[in-house]
Amino acid sequence: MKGSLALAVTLAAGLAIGAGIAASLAWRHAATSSRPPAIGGYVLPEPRPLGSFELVDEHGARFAPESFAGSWSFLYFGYTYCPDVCPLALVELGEVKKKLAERTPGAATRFYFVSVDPQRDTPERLQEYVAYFDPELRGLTGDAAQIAVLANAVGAVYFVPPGQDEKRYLVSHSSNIVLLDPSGGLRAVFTSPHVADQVAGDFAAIFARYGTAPR
Amino acid sequence: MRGMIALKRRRAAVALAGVAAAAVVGLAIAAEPTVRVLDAWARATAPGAENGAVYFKIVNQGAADRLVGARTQAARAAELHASATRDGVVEMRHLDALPIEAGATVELAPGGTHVMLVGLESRLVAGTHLELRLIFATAGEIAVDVTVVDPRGPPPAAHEHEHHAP
Repeated sequence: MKGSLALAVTLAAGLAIGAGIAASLAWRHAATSSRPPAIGGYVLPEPRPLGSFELVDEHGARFAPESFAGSWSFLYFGYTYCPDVCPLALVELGEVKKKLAERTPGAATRFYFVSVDPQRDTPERLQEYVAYFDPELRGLTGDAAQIAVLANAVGAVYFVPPGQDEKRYLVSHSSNIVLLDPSGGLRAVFTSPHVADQVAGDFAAIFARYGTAPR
Repeated sequence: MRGMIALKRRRAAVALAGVAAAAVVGLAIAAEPTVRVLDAWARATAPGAENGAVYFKIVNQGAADRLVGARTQAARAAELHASATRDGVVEMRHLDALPIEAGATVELAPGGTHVMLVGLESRLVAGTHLELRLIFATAGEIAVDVTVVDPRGPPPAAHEHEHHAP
């Protein structure tokens, strides 16, 4: 009698534990699928509006936040005097564009180089510069305070280290690729270093998850 | 007296020959470089870009040395720089010197240490060459032929070598 009671208790305990594990697995599965996809960087669960600012593009035309609407926008913050990191990132961004044309042909995309050095990066200079990397790469510059609004909204950081020549200075800056969704809100940040394959794959995952969601 | 002068002359000639021989030996030793610079390339620059970057590999088969400077006709200045990411922000640091340990190979590559060409005289166009003179503390000045490479195209030949299986 004692033996069979012990067996029954053991069985019941075993079943309870088993059910617990199953439930926890199911819960975890549900939690995982409601979470944004994991990428080389971070994805916001909801797009975050950028606030209001006014910049100029590489043709000197006014560029407002709503100008981002309608496409997935990839933004890189840099400056044309940057000899090493910026060209490297822009070439990689060009590769991302090529890969996305194949991987996510249904996604409307645009690519932007945002100057963190508006004092030297005039629209004219930007126009020549961005066209070299890709004919469809756009350039944004403008008033320093207006650029700061956009940069702050997407977490881009930059500063001119002190003690440099007034004309030949370098700018320290974060080297991330920022992704805005077609509503024009911040959706993701791809952190450096950037490998085109990874960024393209990450975008494909984001697009699969949010690209077709009703808005 | 004439004999004495002739003798002096002969001695002088012998001495001169000795000096010349020593110089030749010296040159021969100097011609055996212990520091070599390989696979030097620069990224072709976009119109509107005023600065460029040069990358290369330093192979040191001798005692420890230091790269202390660079100069070129292609730009107003050539400076030793290192891009480094600190807390997510890329900073360019000016280096006074780059130490090259004895027997070491040091590679300067994109996103890291490079020679920055400050104020280019003209755009760097793919397929062209420029001369860069690297100044080492011990090895002295080494002239380097730098190939300008299109960053949008395939990586420079230096990288291709690594892919060729024997």
